[in-house]
Amino acid sequence: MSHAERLHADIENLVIQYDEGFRLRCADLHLKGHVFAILGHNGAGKSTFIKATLGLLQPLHGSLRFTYHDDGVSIPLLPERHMAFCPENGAVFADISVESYIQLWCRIKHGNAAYYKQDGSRYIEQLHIAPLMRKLGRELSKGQRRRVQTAIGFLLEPKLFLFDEPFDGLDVQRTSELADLMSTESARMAVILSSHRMDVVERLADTVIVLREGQIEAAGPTQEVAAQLCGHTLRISGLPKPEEQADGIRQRFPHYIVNRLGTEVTVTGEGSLPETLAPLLEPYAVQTELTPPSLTDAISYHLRQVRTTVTTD
Amino acid sequence: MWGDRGRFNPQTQGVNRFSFFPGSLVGSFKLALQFVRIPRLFFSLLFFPLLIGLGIVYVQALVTGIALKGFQRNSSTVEHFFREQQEFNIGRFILYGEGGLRPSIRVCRWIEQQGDTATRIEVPPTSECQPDRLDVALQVLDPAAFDPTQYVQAFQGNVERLHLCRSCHPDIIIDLTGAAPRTRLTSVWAFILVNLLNYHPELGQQYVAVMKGYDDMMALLGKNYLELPGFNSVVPLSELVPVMLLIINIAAVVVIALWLALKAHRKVLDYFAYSGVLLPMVAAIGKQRFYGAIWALTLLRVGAFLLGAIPFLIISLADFVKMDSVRVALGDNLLTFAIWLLAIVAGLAFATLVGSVADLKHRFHLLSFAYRYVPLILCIIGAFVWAFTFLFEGATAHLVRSITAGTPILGIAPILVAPLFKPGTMVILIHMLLTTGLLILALRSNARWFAAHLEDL
Repeated sequence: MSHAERLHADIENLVIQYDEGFRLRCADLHLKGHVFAILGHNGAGKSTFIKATLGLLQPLHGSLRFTYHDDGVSIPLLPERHMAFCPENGAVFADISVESYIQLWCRIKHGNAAYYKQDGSRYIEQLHIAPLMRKLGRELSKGQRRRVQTAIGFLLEPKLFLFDEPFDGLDVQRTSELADLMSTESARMAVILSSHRMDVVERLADTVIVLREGQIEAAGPTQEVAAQLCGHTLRISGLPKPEEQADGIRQRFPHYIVNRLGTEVTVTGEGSLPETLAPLLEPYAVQTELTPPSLTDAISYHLRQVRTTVTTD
Repeated sequence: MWGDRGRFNPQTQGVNRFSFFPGSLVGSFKLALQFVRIPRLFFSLLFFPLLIGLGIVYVQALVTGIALKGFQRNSSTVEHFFREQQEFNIGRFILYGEGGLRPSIRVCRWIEQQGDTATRIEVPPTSECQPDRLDVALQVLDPAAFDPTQYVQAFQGNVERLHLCRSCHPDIIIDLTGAAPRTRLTSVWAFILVNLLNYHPELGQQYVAVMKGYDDMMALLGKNYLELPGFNSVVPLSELVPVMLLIINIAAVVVIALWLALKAHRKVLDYFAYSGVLLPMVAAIGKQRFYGAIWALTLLRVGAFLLGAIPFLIISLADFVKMDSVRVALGDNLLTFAIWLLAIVAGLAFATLVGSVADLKHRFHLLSFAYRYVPLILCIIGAFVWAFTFLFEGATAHLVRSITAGTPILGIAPILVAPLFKPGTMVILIHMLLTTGLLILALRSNARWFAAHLEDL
């Protein structure tokens, strides 16, 4: 089995409710993958899904289970044994040094306070934690706190590492480094992440769960979900004035996602795009190609529909 | 719990379900010890609260001792007290370095002499009359003619010199030149010295005489018992004060222990939530072990407090409390006492929990501070209703009284004074069972809310 399908998620008629009004619901669903991305608008239920995965929330009914498949062995994942979590704002005790904090975790999970200097030293190095070791938690920025908790998560050697908005607030270099580390480490562990950084998610995730107002809108392999959310992308090249023509398409079809990259214009949306756009493209000698949409465009399209629905409601 | 098969099992996944089998307990205690290695948690969770808790108990025991001593006063204790004061007084010890009576007062009548210039100056009559700060000056118009006998008697044993003068000024100046006497005290020492008059031997003799008269009058009545209609048993009035003080002490220890327990929970959760560590830690360690560790910390804290407080209370109150009072406070038998103790622990725990949970849930509400007083107000209302029923006779009043005492929170006050008023073991038992049931229900019904708002705590 390729490592792309090591993580299996089985959801059976799941209902989670903890505040009056808000519910996370999901009918029966079986997903396979290795890096899962939980996507959706603010308040869609991403954090609730992660808390439920971590066993912090009790379903009203139904079940949610994750298993890790490795070399023909199926391991049911238990939060306290097999999972690590890095919250959006990171985590470090405010009044102790980063080193003491890391030592506390190493003592708790490995019974050896110096574990981070031995087997886990690569995480300290790759996430640039060494310069932070003597700093107190309250002296760290949000990004630094998250790096520390990310390093600790890796030090726990989980089978499943959950991240809540791991790239939020990181600069380009740190985002790239963290994404590289996730990509490398995903050979050893599965990952579930929620993020608004679609470019990075698209690069990392092979399975996507899209939530909308507490319901699973779409779930499955990344490309299938992208297509399910918004149909196709039409690539148009050969337009004489691509910027003007892109604006024309945007004005005529405001619900489409229209991008221009150099002389090429891409239009993403549902329905038969070649036929819909034919009147606009007829005057020009253009080449068109229908391709699956990118996740970024699909989610943008989806969120636009959500906003439209909310506004209409 | 994410069971061994990896499937969520709602029967065992409850947020506040703990399995207290030994392995889990050991793991939780080990984790608690890891937490305590964090200096901030050690000081804020164990050391300072323990210090404050014990300090409160010590002060409380001291005040109780003083109060009991006051209530147990009779002619012989008063006589003994005044005799002791003549031999040793702390005020005299502070002023003179020894607590016994001072030698007889030397009266110094100041005289006027011709100074270097044309003015006349006032001087002490002899070198032994050189004024000291702790002397008393009587400022009079004619020092040569004034009779100081009353003042000599008043200050005898506490002051060494009494100056009769027009203008001398030690720390105590009694001005007798006006229509009425007026005293000026110009130091703290002077204030202490004047207070020594309270222990004057003659005053003591008069006090003892009055107390003897009162004792004789009380001896005509013997022991007093209150037997109002509606009381289930007679209330021994002679034991009322010591028993009430004992009950207050027991209740105070329970309240402090509960406060320490509740604060321990809130402190750990607040500390972890504030730094963002709560969710990763609970997820990585498991709810059972993490909450088990908090319970272990709570046990450590409350256990240390009780170990320090209870022996001290027993030792410090043993001198003042007679066995009769202890017998009344403990009830007819140990089982009744145990039920009563459980009832007040459950009652106060429930009241604290209701106040705390309401406070947490509505912390952003304008009137959120009021929630914590709701149980207190209910408790006071219950006490009034219960006391009011004694004005009436008959089965209805008895029923209302029993229902009030048996109702959780409303009945806290009647249950507190149950050793005296004896509402009946069954009523105490019902109160205890109902309150315990509600306590468990409150914990369970709020567990989901707490789990969902862990990071908001």
